[in-house]
Amino acid sequence: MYKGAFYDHKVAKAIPVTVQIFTESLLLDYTREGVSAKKLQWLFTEITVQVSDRNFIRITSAGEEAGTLEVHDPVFVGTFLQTYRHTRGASLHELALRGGYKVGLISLIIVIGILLAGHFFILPWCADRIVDQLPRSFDKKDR
Amino acid sequence: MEQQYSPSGTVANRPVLTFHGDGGTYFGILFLNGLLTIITLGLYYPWAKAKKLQYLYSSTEMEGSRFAWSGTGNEMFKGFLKAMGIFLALIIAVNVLAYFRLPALGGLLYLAFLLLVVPVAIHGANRYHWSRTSWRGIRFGYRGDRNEFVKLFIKEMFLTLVTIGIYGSWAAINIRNYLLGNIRFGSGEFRYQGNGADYFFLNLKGYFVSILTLGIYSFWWQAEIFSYYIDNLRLVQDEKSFRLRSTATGGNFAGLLIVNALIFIFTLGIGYAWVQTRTVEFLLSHVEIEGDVELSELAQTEEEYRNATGEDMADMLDLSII
Repeated sequence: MYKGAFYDHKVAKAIPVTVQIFTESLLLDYTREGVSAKKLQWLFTEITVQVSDRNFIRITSAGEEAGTLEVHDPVFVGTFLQTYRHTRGASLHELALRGGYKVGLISLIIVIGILLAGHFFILPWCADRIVDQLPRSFDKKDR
Repeated sequence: MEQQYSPSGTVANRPVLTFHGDGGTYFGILFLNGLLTIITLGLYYPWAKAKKLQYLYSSTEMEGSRFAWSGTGNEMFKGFLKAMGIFLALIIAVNVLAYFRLPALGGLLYLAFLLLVVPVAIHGANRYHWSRTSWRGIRFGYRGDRNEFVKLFIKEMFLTLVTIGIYGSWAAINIRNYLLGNIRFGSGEFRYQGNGADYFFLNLKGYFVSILTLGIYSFWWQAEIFSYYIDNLRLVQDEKSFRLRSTATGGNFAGLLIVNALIFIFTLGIGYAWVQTRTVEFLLSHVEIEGDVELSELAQTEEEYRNATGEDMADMLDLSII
């Protein structure tokens, strides 16, 4: 059970909720003033997820009972993404958000590596192959 | 949210804006964006822009909740195609006129197009951008009228042209008053009460004193402009209002801009991500909000608007609007 805040898209008032993670869905449990306890089940196929760092996640459901769930809890973020990614996969940008500067740095090193390899090895190798293909008479013509 | 009692006895709320973004993560996003944009020969740009905005907005917090930007690459790509179609039609029309030996008419058509397309782009960009911005699920919105804005824009540009630029300050403030005065934050309404004369003299003083001090005063000039933009802005809901105030001084701006320049130069531009996150953090941390609006009472009033043509046209014309 994790704690979060639910917003019903009608007013900006935060409604405290407890959240449970299942293999294919989330279960939100909340009580509003004067209203009996209510449960909402959000299937992973019906939600959109926005992660901005390891501590915060925003999950929006556009279904019948539209709403947004916000959780400031690194444990929830980690656990949820592990389960969610299992069904949806992870994008490169998600890796950048979770990995911080390391992902950018590793990508930068890879790109620099490719450029250097291209400059020092691949291009000279290609040039050699082309030179091998050219008839020797090419050099003589220039003289 | 910090609460205090004002002299009149009403509760004064003081929500704080905080930026949680960090240069390293932002660098990762920008780098991936750049790489994918190059690999796809520019086609990835709308998605890259969406990822960037999503990160910046969702790293900004007010009263324990973060802002959200829900625009998508798909929406902006569709807008991009429409904007491209409009520009392509113009190029074809100008070339056809040139073919029939009417280049002057082509030039006039080009100028008329620019004069018309710029306000339309500004209007469209504001509609799209604010509609996709939300806080606690409550959408922002822009309620300006396109025809009204086009008329205002053309009038202001004409007067600026006739007065050889002197009217520019009045034009900028009148346009700002109109745009910001039509922005909604759910049931809250923004009001901007700038005055062209104040803005003109502020810039006149800033320009001459900066020259006299060999540029040193430009930091204080920058602080005054920022303060002018922030201090005249209010958020109103029913009878309640929030006033915004800038706490940034010229010295603060000098510190920010000098360090930013050093980061940018010594990292050969790689530090751009840190420059941007430092700047956003600086600007947000120097805005004070105070008033009696209950943010939790803001209600959903604005509709969704998914047409990003204006946003893309503004990008193509290199208009940095928001």
